[in-house]
Amino acid sequence: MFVIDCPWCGERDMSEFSCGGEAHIARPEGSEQMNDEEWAQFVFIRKNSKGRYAERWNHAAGCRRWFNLLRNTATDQILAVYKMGDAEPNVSTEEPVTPSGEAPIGSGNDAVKLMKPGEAL
Amino acid sequence: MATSDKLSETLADRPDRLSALSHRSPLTGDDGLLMREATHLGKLVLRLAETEAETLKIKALEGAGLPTQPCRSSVSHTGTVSVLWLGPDEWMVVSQAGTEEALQTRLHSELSGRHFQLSNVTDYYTCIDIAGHQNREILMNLSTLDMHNRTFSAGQIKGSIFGHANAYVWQLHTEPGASEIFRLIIRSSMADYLWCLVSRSARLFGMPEDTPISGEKLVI
Repeated sequence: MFVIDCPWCGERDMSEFSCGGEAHIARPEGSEQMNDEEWAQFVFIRKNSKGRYAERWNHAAGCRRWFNLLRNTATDQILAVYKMGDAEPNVSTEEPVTPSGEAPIGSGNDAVKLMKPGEAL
Repeated sequence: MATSDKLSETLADRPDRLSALSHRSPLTGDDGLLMREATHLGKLVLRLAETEAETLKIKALEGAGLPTQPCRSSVSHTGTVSVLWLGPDEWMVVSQAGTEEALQTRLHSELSGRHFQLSNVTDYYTCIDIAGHQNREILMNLSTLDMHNRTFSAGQIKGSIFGHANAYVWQLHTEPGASEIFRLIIRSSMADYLWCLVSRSARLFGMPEDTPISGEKLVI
């Protein structure tokens, strides 16, 4: 669980919000000429990256507005909250060491955690 | 201006009109603890562009402007009409029971020519008032909202989840020194659930058990 800073209502518990998936996916132009593969790319295929990820969220129980949220999916650290239509802010975060490894901060799952050189458990 | 005492008075004029919680009677406990339904308050939802709301003066609201600051409400000179912020372009106009249709007509004529939406949701929602000391604690039990008076003061309205029910909680504008009143605005179909949930939470703070008028069981 984490607390989300709604651009209008301020800090609220995550249970008040619902996630709308990856942000910044524009509907392609000329969709009447797209084949099935191109449609599948648009409809189903997502980055699903571990680490920095831009998502759309809706404050479902509060002001019911959509906004964008930049989150580190490995640590649930919220990097930025910005309004719909705004460009993704350039914020850096601690990325996981490898695609399968856990990020060095925030994760309680030490069984799969990969250490950086010099990092204490 | 206390709006709470002006409720329910018109119910006697319309004995055929039942509210969502008409089978529940008000509960009172020690130290002024009180829980009751605020019946048939007029409720209109107004949607209007955010940019227009800042400068707009609506006469029908009797001095209550559209609050543009999030989670705030405004109240009219007479104390009979309140405007609650629900979203950046969405407000709820709460008025005395029975006045909502006339108010809707006046708002419609005053806003004509603009791009807006006005819906009468009087019977879609009902209200539960909780007064008396420890009413913050009663609500703290039920939601994740920060109910501390540092972050929740008079006139504020916040939407949240109470148990399984989505509701708005609004602290009424009261005169300085008067006791705080919280008003839950809940969809009628979920009102009985929330009533039972709040009364159960209130029992921890000395509220007697609910005895429904016609023997209905508590839902939870």
